[in-house]
Amino acid sequence: MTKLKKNSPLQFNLRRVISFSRYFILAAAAALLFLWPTHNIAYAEVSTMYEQSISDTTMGLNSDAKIFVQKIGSALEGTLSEICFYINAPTGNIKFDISTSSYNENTVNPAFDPAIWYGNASLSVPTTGKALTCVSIPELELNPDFNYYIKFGYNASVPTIYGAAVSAAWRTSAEDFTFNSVSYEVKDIYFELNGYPINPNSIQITYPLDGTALSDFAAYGFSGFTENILTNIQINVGSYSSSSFPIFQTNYIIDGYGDFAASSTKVSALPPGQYWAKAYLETCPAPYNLYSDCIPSVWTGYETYDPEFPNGYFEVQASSTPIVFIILPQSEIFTGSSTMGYYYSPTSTISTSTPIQITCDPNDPLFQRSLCKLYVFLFVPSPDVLNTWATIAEPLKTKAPIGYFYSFAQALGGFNTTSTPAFVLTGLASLVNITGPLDVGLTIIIYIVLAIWTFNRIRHLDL
Amino acid sequence: MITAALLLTWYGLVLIITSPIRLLPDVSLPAGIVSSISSSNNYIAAIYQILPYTIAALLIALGIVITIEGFIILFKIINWVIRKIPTIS
Repeated sequence: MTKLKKNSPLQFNLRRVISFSRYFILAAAAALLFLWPTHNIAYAEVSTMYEQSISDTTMGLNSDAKIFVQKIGSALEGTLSEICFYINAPTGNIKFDISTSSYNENTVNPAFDPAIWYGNASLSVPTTGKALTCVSIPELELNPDFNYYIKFGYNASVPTIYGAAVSAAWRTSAEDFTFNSVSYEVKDIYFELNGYPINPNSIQITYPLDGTALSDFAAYGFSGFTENILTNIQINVGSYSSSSFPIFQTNYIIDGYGDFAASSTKVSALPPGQYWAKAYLETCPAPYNLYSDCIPSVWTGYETYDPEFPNGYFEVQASSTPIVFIILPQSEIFTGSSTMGYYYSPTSTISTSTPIQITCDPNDPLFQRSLCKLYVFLFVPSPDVLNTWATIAEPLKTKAPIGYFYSFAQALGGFNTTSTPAFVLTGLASLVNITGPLDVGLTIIIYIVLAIWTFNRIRHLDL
Repeated sequence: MITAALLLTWYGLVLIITSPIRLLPDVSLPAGIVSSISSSNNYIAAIYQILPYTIAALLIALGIVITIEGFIILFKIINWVIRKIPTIS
């Protein structure tokens, strides 16, 4: 039997095996890097909860009762990869489309072609019962600056498709509505838009909840607003059901969305119909901790029902800075020939911060995109982690010894010249020729003394 | 992931370091100080009606003086604390 030589290639060599393993690991890592885009790992904020308001209710498209459009809105971020539908239908399938086209609510003339569908999935709609059906779609990078719309359609053979209000509460045929003798069978299909991360930050669009019925117009809105807060308010007013308007026609009280100044009154004669108003508070002064600090009061009225405002009356009083929330949903429900019931849901969403958003361009080369996603995964912290730091300093402000300094600084912060004077010196207005130069002279003296003191203090600094 | 882990670690350290302070009861300024600031505020507001520039200059001067003196005291305190460390003289 021939003995193997020491350096024979057939001889087991541990060092070679280790060396080979090292290259194998490197190669596997490189392969993994290239395969990265196909895995749902990169972290990007999808956006916060979106709640549907009445204006976003699905509407018939081009008088086609089988195609409906739902406005999703803007400020959507992240990557959309899946759409889930809550559907209750005897049979059939549903088509859908995600569009960024300039859908015009006023004329219902969407630019997107009803014949072209982004997704045309035959969903496994259960013949009985209700179920959530999800469809994966080609990844769609959402641009927060765009408005998104979702379009639904279903086969003509499908007699009825009902959407769900929420996953546990399904809409029934009794909740369908009729307009111009046309029965609209699809109403508010409840769906979720899923992306990265899939949960719990998936976008959910829910049917507005009915809140407390309010008896008069003046009560419409939220209380607690003080007119000291300056404002930019967008008001959208439209009709959703009347004998002289198509169901999908929307009217605006002024040209589209308008900026309302504080305490301004906008008057417009509106044609017959029923009207609802919703207010988007674009800006809100600090602190953001109270709805009542920020939410405007909105009053609406209509000549047929409210003689106090014979021309139709919309008034907005409120307020100011970064976009923080939308008042949702406020809807008007027509309840009879001579009365209007105003319903609102007290649920509002307030977002006081903007999450870190780093998205990788899907059009980038594969390697570049892989590196981008790797970078996001490794170095971009989640909002939850960042939020843990938001309140870390707050408890220390009231504890000794920091609390004393903080309280004293706060007290000095209220040191101003606009408080109520302790006394009023009358008759000095006529002496302005004397007090004016005296004021300027004293000011100059104070600044000179301050400069001398500062110079000497620094010169004789004894540390 | 790496940044998140670092942030959470630092957060835990800060919590541990500040825990003795967090356990202390809340403090507030004595009522006399608060009322004295409020009173001086009211007197200043009265004079402000006559000599607005002078009052504004006084408040600015007051702020500058407090800021400079505050920094000097803070610097001395930090120096004093550092000198208490055995290896530093």
